[in-house]
Amino acid sequence: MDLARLIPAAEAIPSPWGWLEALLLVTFILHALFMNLTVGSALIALAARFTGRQRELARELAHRLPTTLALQINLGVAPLLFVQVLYGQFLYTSSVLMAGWWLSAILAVILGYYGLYVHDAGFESGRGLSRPALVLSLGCLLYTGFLLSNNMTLMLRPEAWAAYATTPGGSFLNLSDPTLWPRYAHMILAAPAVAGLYAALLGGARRRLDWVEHGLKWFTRLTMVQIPVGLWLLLALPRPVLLAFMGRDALATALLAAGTLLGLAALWAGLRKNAGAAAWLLVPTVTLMAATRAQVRGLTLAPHFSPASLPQTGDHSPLAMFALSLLVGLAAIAFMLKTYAKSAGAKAAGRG
Amino acid sequence: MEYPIWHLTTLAGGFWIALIGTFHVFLAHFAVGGGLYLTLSEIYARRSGSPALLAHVKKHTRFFLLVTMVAGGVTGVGIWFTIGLLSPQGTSTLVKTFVYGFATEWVFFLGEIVALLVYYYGFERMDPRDHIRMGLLYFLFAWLSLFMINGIVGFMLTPGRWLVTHNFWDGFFNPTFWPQCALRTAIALTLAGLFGFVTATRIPDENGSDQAREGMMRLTAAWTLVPLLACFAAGWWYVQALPEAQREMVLLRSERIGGFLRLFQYFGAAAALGALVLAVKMPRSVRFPLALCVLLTGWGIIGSFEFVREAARKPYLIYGHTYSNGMRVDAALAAGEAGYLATAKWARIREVTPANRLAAGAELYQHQCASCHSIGGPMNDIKPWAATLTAEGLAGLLESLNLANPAMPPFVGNRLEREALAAFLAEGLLGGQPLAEAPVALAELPTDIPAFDPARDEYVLLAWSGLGMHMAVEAQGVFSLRPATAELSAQLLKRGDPPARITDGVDLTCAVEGAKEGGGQPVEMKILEGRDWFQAPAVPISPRGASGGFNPYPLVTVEARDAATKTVLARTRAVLPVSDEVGCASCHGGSRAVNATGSGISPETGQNILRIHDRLNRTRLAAQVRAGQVVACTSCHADPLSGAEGKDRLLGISSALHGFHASTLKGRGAEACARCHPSRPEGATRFLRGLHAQAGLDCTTCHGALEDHAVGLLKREQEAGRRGARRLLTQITPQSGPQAGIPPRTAWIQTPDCLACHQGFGAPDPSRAFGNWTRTAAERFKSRQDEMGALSCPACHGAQHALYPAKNPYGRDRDDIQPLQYQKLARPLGAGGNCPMCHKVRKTDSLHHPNMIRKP
Repeated sequence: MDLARLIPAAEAIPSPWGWLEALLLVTFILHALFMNLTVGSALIALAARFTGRQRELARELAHRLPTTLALQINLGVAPLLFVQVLYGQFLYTSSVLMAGWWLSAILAVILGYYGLYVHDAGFESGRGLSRPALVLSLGCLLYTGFLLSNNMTLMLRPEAWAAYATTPGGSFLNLSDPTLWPRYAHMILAAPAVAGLYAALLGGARRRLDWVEHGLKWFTRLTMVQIPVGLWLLLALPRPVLLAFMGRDALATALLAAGTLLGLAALWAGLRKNAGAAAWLLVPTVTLMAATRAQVRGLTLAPHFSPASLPQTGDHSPLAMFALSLLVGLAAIAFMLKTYAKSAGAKAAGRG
Repeated sequence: MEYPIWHLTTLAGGFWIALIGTFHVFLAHFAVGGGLYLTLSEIYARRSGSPALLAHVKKHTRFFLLVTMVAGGVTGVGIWFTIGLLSPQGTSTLVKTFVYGFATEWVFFLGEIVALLVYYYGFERMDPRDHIRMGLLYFLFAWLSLFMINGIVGFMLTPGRWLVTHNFWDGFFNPTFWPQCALRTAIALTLAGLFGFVTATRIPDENGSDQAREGMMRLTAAWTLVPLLACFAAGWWYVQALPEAQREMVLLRSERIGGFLRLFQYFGAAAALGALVLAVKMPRSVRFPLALCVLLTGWGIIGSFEFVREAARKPYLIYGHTYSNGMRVDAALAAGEAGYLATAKWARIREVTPANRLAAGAELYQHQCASCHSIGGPMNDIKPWAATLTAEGLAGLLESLNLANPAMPPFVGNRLEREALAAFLAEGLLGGQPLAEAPVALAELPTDIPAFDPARDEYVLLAWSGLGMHMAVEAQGVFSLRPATAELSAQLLKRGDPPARITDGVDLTCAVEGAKEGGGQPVEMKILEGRDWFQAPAVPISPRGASGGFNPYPLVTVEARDAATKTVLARTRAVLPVSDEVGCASCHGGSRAVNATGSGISPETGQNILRIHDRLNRTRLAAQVRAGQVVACTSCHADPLSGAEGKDRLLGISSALHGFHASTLKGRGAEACARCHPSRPEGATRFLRGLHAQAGLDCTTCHGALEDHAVGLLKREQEAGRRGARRLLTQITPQSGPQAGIPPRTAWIQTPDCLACHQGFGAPDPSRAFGNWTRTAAERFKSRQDEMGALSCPACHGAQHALYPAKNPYGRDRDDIQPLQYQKLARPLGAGGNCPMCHKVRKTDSLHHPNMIRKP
């Protein structure tokens, strides 16, 4: 069977593809950061609850988990939207192939979400459902991440789609893909590293040097693990894609190199116990790594498809509506956060 | 045709959408209305200075957050996942068309989350005015989310000008945008009240006083009732704003929507009643569970509305653009005769062969049916529907699926694919056996010719049936189309030159021979007004006589007696044809009523037919039958033959049946007629037995192909303003050319005019047989008289479809008794110089009609 023949025809997009790719990238970075924060904090909190050390930090992190998960989910909606616009014909197809699994992610997220609330509510009493709830939550979130890794890799592999002939019931997983496990590991290991850095920053703000120390340990150790894992992922990539990153494609190579260097710089800052500098370096690192990820997608699909080939309808007024709503929305959010922060000050002043 | 299909059986048919969707919309609307409810409750609590009330608002906020943000928000993402899986093509169109609409909604969703979190976590620490502002901001963002999604959801039902312009704003501000926005806002506010009851019942007493709780309960009741009234008003507006096709689907056609529309009203009434009851003081142990029950009515309100909306959209996902099964309208048109499997990218079988017929059918089922129909599952199970038809019936239905049932998309595929899918449903799923219509072996029945002595007998008695075949259509205990009675006419002539038509001083009777016990008594015939002949308009008749065997050609003995002396003046016999060989079962399934001959309609078949009628026309006939009341078709549908007038401007029975089946049996010749009528050449009746049949003419020569015949009938109905005629006409393409070439025809009152072919009683031109109708009832063959006004046409020529010389399949002479009796020649009476049979002498002038006496 000619597998490329299976790729569905794509319809026109409303704006130049680059704009949509940029929106995809920016929103994905935000989503990834919040995912790291949520999953990482949950891991750190769980470790603390099992070892009995850093209990207060665990409570502090756990208390924020429902909020960060809410934002993580919301920020995941946008890249999911934009990826459908640009690569829908691949994503819908891979989703159908793993439909049963894919749909189960919804239940997993709801369970994980409620688990975080249950954990937070029962934290002080220390007994009952609190700890199992956190285990359940984390399990659900890691499971969801695994499904996302599956789908994001399966959509790039039309050669694996032939499995549909024998498993049309939505039970397929992309387990035969050599990039699946390193990619999943690379995404998930980043979570406690980023959350560790966040804990260190929190420790800095609260003048809790033990939090800073503890958080940076998470950050530096896991970031060191990311070096071989990243290499594993790189080597697992299809050969043309790998070669593109090895110099054949200047942009791809530059993005990967810059991301790696910035990541090493952040690690160095972490080792120097400079959490602030590490954080400042981390955000561009994540940005560059996300851009590298987008390059992997583009390069892998290149033999079949380029979003540049999509016809455009060219009506920009809906985009203007979106831009305007984003401006107003962000302004309103800023206002709300400012009002909230002001009340925190007022409360502290009242208490003092 | 571009995407793979997620193969589902039990949980197909939109199960996942229904499960996740109704849950989500319930919570999402609560999320909108609840925002305002929270904020206004907070204002009320602060103004009344009640700590208990304020604590209640805070508690309600936590409940609200956990319900709407977690379950509500995530199931919203779940809907995205689900539609992407069940209808990638439709989802792709929506996403690409409205990406910035969705993106804008995402911004509002983000604002909603931030506002709710700030409101919740800042409940105690924020300045009350600031806090209330947060609540209002939350409501604003939540409502704006509704505003955005409302545009996109409305677009799917009523895309309006977008179909032409493909402009974002045309699609977004579509014809139902504003009424739907009002309706959803009203529902959102109602739901907020219903959820409010759940927490308000749990407000504790304050200093031994229940004032805070009771005040809140009364407030919540008012909060629920006012928007509930707005719901009904907005619902009416919404229905009025629907374009004609969608509105007709809601109000007139679909039995399914009718149910949901009623449910919407019942749930609304239940919610109102519940709100009123909850406002009355009662113990918490009763009130709290009651509040939960009343909350469920809210689920009913929003759920039934969404079902009405989705059902009104049938057979589309995006009206006029993408069918419910995800196939785009243009792609469906393009597939053509190449077939579906060869053109669908993800079909796992590319071609139907005799070996893979059932597997190919299953594949087609997954691609074109499974998105709406489950197999034995809770949603829209295909089995009960498929069970009402045989493989042949299903194949016929599939050919015109969208025409026969406007709620269905067309089946896309060629003939082999239709047959494969039909076989999969009938045989693969339901275990039916393929049916073959075996030739029926007919027994020769004895036909004795009554005596006539031209030298001595003074009278000639002629008798003829009003119909060439009376079709008894009845399913025992289920429905009855026409009673099994037949019309017999007779004329008594006293031989001489000229012969005399005897109408006075004689008694004419007819008696069915060999009738079942209790039948066969002589029936008195009466003078027909304005004519010189006698008639028995309703002789009870049956194709099953005393012997029990099937005989569609029972004989009647007709006798004329002197009224004074009761002496028999003349006696003859005639066939009074009747058959219940009605082919319904070959398509509509059910066991056959009488196995021996394959005749009749079994009660099971009858119920299958009524269920389809109910489904398509919103009737409750099947239930009526179960309650013991037999359905009389002509009590609603006019039937000129039996004189039934029908009602409610409904189509006459002939137009309804032919008009509907013209779509399911199209593109055929006389075999289409034989699917229902007893004309199958190898069947048990074979009623085309007259001269015309022997000349090689068939049903379609005079009546046209089924489509053409139906168009003639429907055009007359349309002129009369009958409901549905116009719609059926738009579905039918005549075989003979444009519809304009077919003149309107009133069933039974207008028949093909013999003289159109036999112009001036000359040599016939069969090409003129179809489309030249008699203008009045009196011009019909059976009513027309000769040019002297002496004899009717069938008196000498035999009944239509059995014109002399006929060849009856049950015995060569059976239809020719009178010619053989009076002139020993099986030809029209008087033919071959047989004038003396009446005139006693030979005649030379063609006075009955021109050209009757042929020059040797």
